[in-house]
Amino acid sequence: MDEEELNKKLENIDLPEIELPDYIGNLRMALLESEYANNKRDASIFTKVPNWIKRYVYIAADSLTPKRLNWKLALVSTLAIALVISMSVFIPPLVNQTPGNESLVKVDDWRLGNKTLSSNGTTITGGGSTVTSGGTAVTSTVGSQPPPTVKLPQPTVVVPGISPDPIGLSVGGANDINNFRENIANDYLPLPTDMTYEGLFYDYYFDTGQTEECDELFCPSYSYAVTNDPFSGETEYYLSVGLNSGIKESEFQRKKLNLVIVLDVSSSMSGSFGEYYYDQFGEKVELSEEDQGMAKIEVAKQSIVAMLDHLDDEDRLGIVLFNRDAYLAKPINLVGETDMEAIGEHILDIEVKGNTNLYSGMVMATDLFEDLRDVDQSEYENRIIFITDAMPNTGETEQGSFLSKLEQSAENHLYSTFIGIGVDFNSELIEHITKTRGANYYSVHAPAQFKERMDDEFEYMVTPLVFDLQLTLEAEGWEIEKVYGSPEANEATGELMKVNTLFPSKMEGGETKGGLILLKLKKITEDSNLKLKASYEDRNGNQKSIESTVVFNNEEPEFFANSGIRKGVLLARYADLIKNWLIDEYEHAHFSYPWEPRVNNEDGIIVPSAMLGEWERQSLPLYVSPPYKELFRQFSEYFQNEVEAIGDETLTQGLEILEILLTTNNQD
Amino acid sequence: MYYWRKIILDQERILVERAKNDKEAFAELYDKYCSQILGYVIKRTANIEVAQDVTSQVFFKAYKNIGQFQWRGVPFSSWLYKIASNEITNHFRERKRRRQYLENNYDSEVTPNPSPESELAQAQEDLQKYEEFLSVHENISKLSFKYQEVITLRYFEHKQLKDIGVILGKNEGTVKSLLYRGLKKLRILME
Repeated sequence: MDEEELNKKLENIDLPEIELPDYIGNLRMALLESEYANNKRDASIFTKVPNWIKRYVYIAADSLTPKRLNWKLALVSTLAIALVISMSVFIPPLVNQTPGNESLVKVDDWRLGNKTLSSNGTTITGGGSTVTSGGTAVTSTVGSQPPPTVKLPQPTVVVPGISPDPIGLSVGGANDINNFRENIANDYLPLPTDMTYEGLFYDYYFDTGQTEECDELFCPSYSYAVTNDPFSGETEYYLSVGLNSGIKESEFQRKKLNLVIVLDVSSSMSGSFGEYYYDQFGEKVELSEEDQGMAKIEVAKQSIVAMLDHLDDEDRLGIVLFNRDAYLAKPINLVGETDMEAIGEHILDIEVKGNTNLYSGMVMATDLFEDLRDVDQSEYENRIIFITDAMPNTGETEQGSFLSKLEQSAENHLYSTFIGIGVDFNSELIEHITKTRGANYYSVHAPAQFKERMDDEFEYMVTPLVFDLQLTLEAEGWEIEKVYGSPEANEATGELMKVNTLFPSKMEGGETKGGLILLKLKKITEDSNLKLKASYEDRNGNQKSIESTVVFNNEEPEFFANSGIRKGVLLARYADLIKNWLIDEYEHAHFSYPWEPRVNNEDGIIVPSAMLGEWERQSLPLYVSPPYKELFRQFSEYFQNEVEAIGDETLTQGLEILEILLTTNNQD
Repeated sequence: MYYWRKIILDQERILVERAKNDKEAFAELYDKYCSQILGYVIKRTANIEVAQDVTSQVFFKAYKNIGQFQWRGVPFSSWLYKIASNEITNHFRERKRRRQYLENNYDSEVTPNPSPESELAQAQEDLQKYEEFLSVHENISKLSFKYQEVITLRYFEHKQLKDIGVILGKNEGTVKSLLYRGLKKLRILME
């Protein structure tokens, strides 16, 4: 049966029309005579009156009963009621007329004339300030910090009494491998760093192997697998760490946000997108003609406007633009007191020019938080969102400088998100610097796609929950060989795994998006016991730890405790193979002599080298050397079998990539 | 068309506000939506007894909690559908626990089977006549709940993707993807 047939069948199916008049009548009667109905019968405006007022009313009524006639008490209570009513009638208008409330008039505090962004950074209108190249002379102006206004809660539809799905956790760092997919789709050779393990894992939902109810912020669960390498047949051992949380979606509420958006307005942002991209389900999405020709800056601007929708009145927003220099476009002020519509229009008017001095934007944005250092950390979250193609070419360009700047900010509870724009987004730089505590990054390929993602994930994106997770392995017989699914994987030693940050993550059907970290273990002796101690810090700085024991029973390959770890192993092998291929292709791109691929039938899928070298983002054409074509063909068969065994069809997007690579016509 | 929709929604908003304190107003909402919700639950469960049980729960919960309902410009029925979807999921996922919970908490209000025997028997007999529906339903019920929900709402309740999004609390793109993946899985099951 094909798609069309099924569609027709479902549309034309004869649906049951069952009449149950007696049932409907009985239920109606039961409802209207229920306990709730009787309570509602008494319901009046009185039910909304605070208890202390009710108490006076009861006293007054009680005092006036014939048995306990007490005129003095009745008089006092009645006067109290009258006073309360008078206050409620007259005081609100007075409050509204206080001088403090004049600020209810919303202010357009945009400071730049957009078309005056000069490539030499000197011509700024509207009182904006600049940071010169190198970021040494910062003269930013922070907006006044008026007292917070009282904000009514946002309207929500509550479905009370129904326990909603819990939420899980996932690691920081990359939140997709969109850039990898888009490079393949546009016939470019991706960078090895375009394929991140955590980004790949975040594209999928995992059974975390959780068997017990979780009442804590974080409850790790452990599962293991014994499986053979698909090429060498060598037996491998894996342990998965399931990232579970006891938080319910309904209980989740992000803190108020002090947010500075830093937008790259350099010339490279005027480049356009490709013709299509791959969505999170691996489906090829054709971009409209309008979107195809759209410059990166247009996508970036629309992405910012999409994010503004998620800010509340009590959040604060500031905006910095940078090219060769940094410009304060909007001081950091309360959203409730800002004319956000006007700000949105200013953003859409921005034009690009000049070199890229990412560091200067970083310095100015960090400086905007100077006056907010004393805000209550338990109430406010501080975050800078960088929107850039990440190709700094002037000012400070060393990875180390960016990293130390971000680390320094993170120590002061100021965290970063990077949103990468464009097919030539430099993932290598961003992958490196978002290993910082509280950091994460996304890549954007179409405004509509990004808007949808923000609708789903903005609240989670800005809310780190668990910090400095350390997993210590106490086991005579085992050591950690490699960690998959965490940006800090390279920091792991034989006995210790570190993860800087865990963010909340969506759950569907009991599975968590990106809710798994995978450890490849090396068997040293026959001692099969593993003692694991997970320690972490919560968002209030409290240290916690949990100890567990895992025993590898004498299972033979292929053994997987659940589909989650099986999916993790498949994806880890897939990513390793792809990374090895990319390293080989880049390393041999300029050499004509014969070479051997890193992956072979003797060694199997080896862990890719960490020494990736320094690359500029090059637009090398997509190329698959003959040895890798054969490896991909063999791996596709293994992949197909695993997809069937796991039963998750979203995995076929990996197969589709392999299919593209197998059919690539190399241009020698 | 827009203005008609707005007028109807305005009227419903007023009725919902009244229903927070007035049982007769709630009765009006019940009369308007009970058959629709019951029909949806029957199409999801293909079981008259379960459908009656679930529908009773839906309306007791709606009645109990209508005070907390915040109007956001979407029909009241979307809220009822949302409760119904959750109740169906709860029913199948936690049948045991839920029964125990109901015994402890809802005995006084819920009549597990308020339909007379004759009506129930007739309805069950009528349902068996829809062989094609039952055969498709059998396959749909093998899918995850998330797919069951979107397929039933789209094809059996004829809801627009946007409305399904409102009911399930997901955005339209997610609904579209769920529908696509659900149909793909259903196709395999039906082959």
